[in-house]
Amino acid sequence: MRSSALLLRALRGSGLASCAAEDAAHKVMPALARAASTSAAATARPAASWASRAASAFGAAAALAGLTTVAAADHEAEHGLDSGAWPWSHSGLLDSYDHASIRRGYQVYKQVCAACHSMQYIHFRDLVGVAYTEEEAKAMAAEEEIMDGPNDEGEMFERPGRLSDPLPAPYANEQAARYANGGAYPPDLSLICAARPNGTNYVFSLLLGYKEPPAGISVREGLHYNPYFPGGAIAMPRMLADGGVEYDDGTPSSSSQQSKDVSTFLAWAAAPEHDERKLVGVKALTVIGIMWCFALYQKRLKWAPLKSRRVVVDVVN
Amino acid sequence: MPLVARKPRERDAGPRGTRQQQQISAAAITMVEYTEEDPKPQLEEACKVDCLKEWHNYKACSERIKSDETGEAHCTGWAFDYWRCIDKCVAPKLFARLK
Repeated sequence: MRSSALLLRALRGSGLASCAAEDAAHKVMPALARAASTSAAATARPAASWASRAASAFGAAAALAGLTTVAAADHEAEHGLDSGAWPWSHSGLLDSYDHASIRRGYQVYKQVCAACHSMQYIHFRDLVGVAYTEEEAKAMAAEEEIMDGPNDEGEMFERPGRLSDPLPAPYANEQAARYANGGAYPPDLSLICAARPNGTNYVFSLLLGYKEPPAGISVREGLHYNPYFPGGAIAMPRMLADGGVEYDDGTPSSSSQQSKDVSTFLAWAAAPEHDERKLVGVKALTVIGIMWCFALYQKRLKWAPLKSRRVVVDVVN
Repeated sequence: MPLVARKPRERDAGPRGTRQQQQISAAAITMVEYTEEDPKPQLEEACKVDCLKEWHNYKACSERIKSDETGEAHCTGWAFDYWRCIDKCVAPKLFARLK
């Protein structure tokens, strides 16, 4: 029962929400039936006063409220362990991304994550000027074989990648991805930091968060225990290993280092406008501040005669 | 401000060697050495002393549920409390040791 509940939650994370909803509906049914029977009893008696009808309505409302509490307090693992607040170098009000870290993060993605996860909204051109020079990005793109076509003869053909190509996807479609991963769908990572609550911290904690399940919890064969994942049972095994990635800047790649870098990279992928936004914010606030002073001066100047006049009512006779 | 900062250094200069040596050792302390060994498990180990209460609560729970026969009892909540405490302790220290 326990493991099946966990499985349901794990599946809910991977898109099979209907089963989980059904599960919740089963729990709700008795409460609703009770509420319905109370109101039926109230209508059956013609002498039922306004008060009793109000009471039955209150009962139904209480049943509904109870239902939400039941759903929320169902299991501690329901929403996962909170991912905390790690001191990111870009989390300050005026801080930009650590672009060396974005570059290393791309290497982690390429060497580790890209085996299962796509990034369909990120193109090679997006890396230019952010983590790579144009020449480097062109060379990286050219290493990939991209299916294109049809050509003049109606045939599909392969060509070297270009800057305008998205990062190559590991699977042709969702079905192929599920089939290769025991039914679990590795989500696209382009917007993952925006798509999960506390996204960047969540990714960082999740990647390093594999632990022994607590007493009384067992995880089905093929899943792994990770408290940060809603439900606790995740299909992805721990992928980061110390020294598992080769950085081109020679940074020693401990798992924490890899997790930090790939989280920064994914944060950038989800919010590439971040640096520009903060810069424009500073500029806008400065200009607005100066204009505000002018406006204030102008207002006082215009109002001065009105504010300093004295109205004298001189009654003649 | 500089006066206050210099005072203890002069006092310490005698037994611990020359000022130059001290500056070198101070630099070695502030300079982080990045290694392939993951600093996170080490920090988590060091943080255990700050989370003894949570750890004991969790252990008490796992003892308690040994007699459970429904198969429904578990200690997720206590474990979460403990891990939350560890994370809170590790968070400010870990990134200082990463590039």
